[in-house]
Order: sequence, then structure tokens, then C-alpha cells
Amino acid sequence: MKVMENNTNKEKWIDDVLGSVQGISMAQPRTGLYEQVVMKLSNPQKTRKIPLPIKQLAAAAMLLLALNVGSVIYFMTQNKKTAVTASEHSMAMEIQSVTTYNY
Amino acid sequence: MEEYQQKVFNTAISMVQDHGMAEDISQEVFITVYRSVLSFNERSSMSTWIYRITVNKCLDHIRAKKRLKRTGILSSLFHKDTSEEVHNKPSFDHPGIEMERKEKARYLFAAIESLPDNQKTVFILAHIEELPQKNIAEILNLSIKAVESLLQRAKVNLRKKLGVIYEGKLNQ
Repeated sequence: MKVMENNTNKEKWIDDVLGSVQGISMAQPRTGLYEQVVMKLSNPQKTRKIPLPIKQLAAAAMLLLALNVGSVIYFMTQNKKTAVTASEHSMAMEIQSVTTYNY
Repeated sequence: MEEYQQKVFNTAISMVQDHGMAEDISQEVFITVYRSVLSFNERSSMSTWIYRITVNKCLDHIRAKKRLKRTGILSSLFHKDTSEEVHNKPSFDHPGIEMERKEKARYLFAAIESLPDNQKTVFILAHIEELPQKNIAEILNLSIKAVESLLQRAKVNLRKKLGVIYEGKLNQ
């Protein structure tokens, strides 16, 4: 019962909020908008550009580059290690078989 | 210009929810209108054309603001003293709302702010500018069906968002 009442109140509140803009009147700009437009048209200025956060972007790029280089170096050394271990293993096997043959 | 300046400003302030930014947009709109009035081809009415410029300028400003917000988050990682309040907007009061409805309208504008851009635009043009769906379709280069559908989705989303706000108010 309480839940139903709560839902009814909620729906009513939502309807009221949605209806709060009914009959809204037009917002007025400050006086002098026309003069400002005319002034800007007669004295065109360069548009203001929002500066890019260059330092942050450069830092992020450096970090990404370092991570990339790091991972490449890591994988290369890992591969080298595996290759060296494999060749050492095969050599050891060969030596062992030669030794066995000698006996 | 006087004929259109209220329409332009009212649309802009409802979309960007900032008085100063709405004035900047209004100026930009009229400068664009003056500069390109010769290329206006009269396939649509002057009013539709000016509304289209206004909506596009507003969406540009909203996108720029979102980008700024994102870089704000990025810069806050580098500068600890970048306070959140710089990017958080206080609740917006539309100057055309009657005093007794102001509080509820504030919740509505907060919910409108979180709608996707196309739903927000259609809802504002329909319920604040009170334009017919046919005109909205012309302004946005959409079919009337698409406008109807966007408006429907906007209303559903607004009800959901307002429901969450209501629950939050109850739990306070």
C-alpha cells in the first residue's frame, strides 16, 4: 500500500516537473546585443582558440612510447633467452650422446 | 534582428544553460547570419535557417565544453589543485520560468542536460520554444517520424532520470 502511494507521489512529482516549463516566457538577452554584433562585424577579431594541453599530451605520448619500447625490449630479450636455452639444451644432448658413444 | 534575437537567445540559454555562453552564441549566430545572408537560398524559411544555425552553434559549444571537461580530468591528474567546481555547473535557473515553478524546473533542466544531444535539441525546440514538429523536422533535417521518435525517447529518458532524482530526494 505504501509502495503504491509512493509510486503515485513519484509519478505526480515527475508530471509536475515535466510540466514546469509550460507557459514559459522567452528569456531576454541583455540590451546592446545588436550593438555588439555590429561592432564585431566592423572590427573582425581572430577567434579565440582553446589551447591544447600540450605538456600533458606530450607526457602521455612519452609514457606510451616508453611502454612500447620497454615491452619490445622485454619480448626480444625473452626470445633470445629461450633461443639460447634451446641451443644450449641441444648442444648438451649432443655432447651427452657423443660421450655415450665414446664409452 | 530584434525579431529573432529572443528566439535565438532563448534556444541558446535552454541548450547550454549558461547566460554568458548563450549571449556569446547569440552574437556568433547573428554574425554568421549577416555574413552568409547572401547565400541563404530560401528553400527554408528565414526562421528555420536561423534556428538551424543556432542549434549547430549550441551543439558546437556543448561539444567544446565536453572536450574541456575531459581535458580538465586529464589536467587534474597532473595538477592536484584543479578544483572540481571549475567544471561542475551549479543548477540552472531559466529566466523565463515563474517563481513558484523555479525549483521543479531546475530539476527538469538538470535532467535535460544529461540527455543525448539530439533528444535534448528536440525536447527544447518542442517544449521550450514550442515549435511544431514539422518545423523541428525542417530545422534538424529529419523526418517528422524521426522527430516524434526522438521526442518520445527524450520523454522516457527524462521520466527515468527524474525518477532517480526523486528517489534520491526521498533518501536524503
